[in-house]
Amino acid sequence: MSQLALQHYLAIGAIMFAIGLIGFLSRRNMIVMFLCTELMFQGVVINLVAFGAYHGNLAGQAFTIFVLVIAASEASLALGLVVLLFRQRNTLDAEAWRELRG
Amino acid sequence: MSCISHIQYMLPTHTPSAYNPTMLRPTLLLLLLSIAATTQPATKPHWSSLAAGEIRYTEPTPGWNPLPLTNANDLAATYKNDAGNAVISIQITLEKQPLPTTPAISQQLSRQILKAIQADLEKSKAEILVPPKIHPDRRFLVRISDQIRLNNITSDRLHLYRALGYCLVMVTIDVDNQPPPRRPIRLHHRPRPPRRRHPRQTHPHHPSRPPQSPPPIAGTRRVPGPPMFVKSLTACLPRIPPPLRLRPTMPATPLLDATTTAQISGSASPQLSGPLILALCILAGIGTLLLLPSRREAAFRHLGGILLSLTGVVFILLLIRVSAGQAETASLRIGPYFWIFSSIALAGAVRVITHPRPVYSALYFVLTVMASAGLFVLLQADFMAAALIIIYAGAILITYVFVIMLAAQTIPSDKPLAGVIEYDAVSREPLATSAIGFTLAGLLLFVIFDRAPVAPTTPAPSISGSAQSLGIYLFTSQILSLEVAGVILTLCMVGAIIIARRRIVGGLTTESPAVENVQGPATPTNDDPHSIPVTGTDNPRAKAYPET
Repeated sequence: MSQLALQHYLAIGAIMFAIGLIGFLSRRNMIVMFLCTELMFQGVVINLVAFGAYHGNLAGQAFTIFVLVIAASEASLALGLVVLLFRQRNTLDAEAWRELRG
Repeated sequence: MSCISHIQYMLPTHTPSAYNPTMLRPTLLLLLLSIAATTQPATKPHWSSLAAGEIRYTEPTPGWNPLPLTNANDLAATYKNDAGNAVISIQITLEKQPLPTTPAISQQLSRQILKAIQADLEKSKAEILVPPKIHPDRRFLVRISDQIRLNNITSDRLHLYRALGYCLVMVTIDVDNQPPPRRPIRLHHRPRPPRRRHPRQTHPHHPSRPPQSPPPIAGTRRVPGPPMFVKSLTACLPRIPPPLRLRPTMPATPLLDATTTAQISGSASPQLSGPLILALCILAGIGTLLLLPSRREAAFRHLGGILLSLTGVVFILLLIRVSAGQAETASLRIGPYFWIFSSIALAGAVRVITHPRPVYSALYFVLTVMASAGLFVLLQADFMAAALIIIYAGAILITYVFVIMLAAQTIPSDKPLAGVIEYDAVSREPLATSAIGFTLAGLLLFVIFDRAPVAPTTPAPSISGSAQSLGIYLFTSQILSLEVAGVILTLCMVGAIIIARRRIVGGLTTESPAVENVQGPATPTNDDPHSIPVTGTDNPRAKAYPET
């Protein structure tokens, strides 16, 4: 794998991370916000696997597995918390928790 | 010999910029105490360092005196014993690249060193009693012993080489024998320290020793080893371990051949330049701004979609042009599949953040995950592609969809986006977030394409992306991380169950509803079991078949 191919994969990962960031900041539905964090994870994972292929070792893929573990844990906990918050205010709007801004 | 086995490669130490002396003192005291507890005070070695502290070694035991160096470059040290018949010489050469320590390269190095020593011996007109021989020893890169006779003095020599990062450390031990014995003395496999011969030297008239020859007179002995050795070693130095000799032993598939490297470094025109990236990011930001959910007319959103897709097409065409400018020389693995998968992934990602209905966002995220899995297959990471689809598309996304269904709300019908609730239909600060996001994307792309150092790094051997090799890697060198990952998953499962079990009534967290207080005996009110709830009540009177 050449450096040029690495650049292309890194570009795709960077754009995907930026799109996820935009979604996390702009959407108000809490579930979609967490979906956007998963999108950012996707960008990072593409970078990791591309670097692993570039250097010819398995460290990138091993790191990807741990990223998947963290993503799964985050999804389970975050969705539980989202359901809890939904029951408390009866809405998924993140703006309903504006008072946390102080 | 102890000085050889204690040579250590010291990592460069970083001094802390700011530290608290009150905390430092007890820490140092503890450190000293622990060191004192673990080390034996009787044999406390004396450390010396060479090459500006890069190499540290224990000095030989008393009885060995350091000699003034012939090349005082802080790269050599020579010791002579009291009897003057043995010399230890340490010499370091600095390489331009880290020395590899793989067995193949070590074998090749040892052959080169052997040849150099033989050539040096032929040149010095010394009589070779025992030709140089390589002894396999795992502690050293190369270990060679020989026996020569020069100026009527026989000497056993032991050459030890060790590669420590950028330093090649050579230790040569020269022991002058007694006048030449009949048969050459063979060194043992584990060489004895040269001090063993001292008693014979210091007591030449010991009665048990057969008087073979007149004992050597101190004045007539040649000036022991160091000049000769340092000279011979320095004569060998440029020829033994030059980096150019190491190069053919590297894997013969360079990452970039010379023409490619010259092209990449020399031609900046086909690369994406900074202003181009900036213009593309501004266009994409405007498109995203228009496409983000809002109460605008549908025409604006269509315009945003067209703008964004046009920007994407232009970006991909530029990337294709960049790779086409260099594809003639390098065998690039950027085929059409890369462009297809990456377009699908990016389009899906844009739809995830711009679709007003969360269920469709989740489904578009599944599309993105599938396209990423396709990219992984192109990267020869088959197992990761399968794992991504199974874990993300199979497990995580199903959970998301279920939660979206659980948290569904009654939807008031509205004009532009009928059936979409208000917080999904109107996004929060779309202008600022688009600006932030595409500023980040533009900076990253600029760093990736415009400021990327053209560094032909280590050649990438083609890895087999099979699950077997990945499993072997995970369960051998990453076993602790794997266990930690398992513990984290268990903790998260328990935590999610605990979080989800909590009941919330009217904004307050209560453990259980209040139990109705009942007095008096329980009487059946109705015998028809279908008329009374059997479960869900604590009132024994309401039960169809009370206990009493």
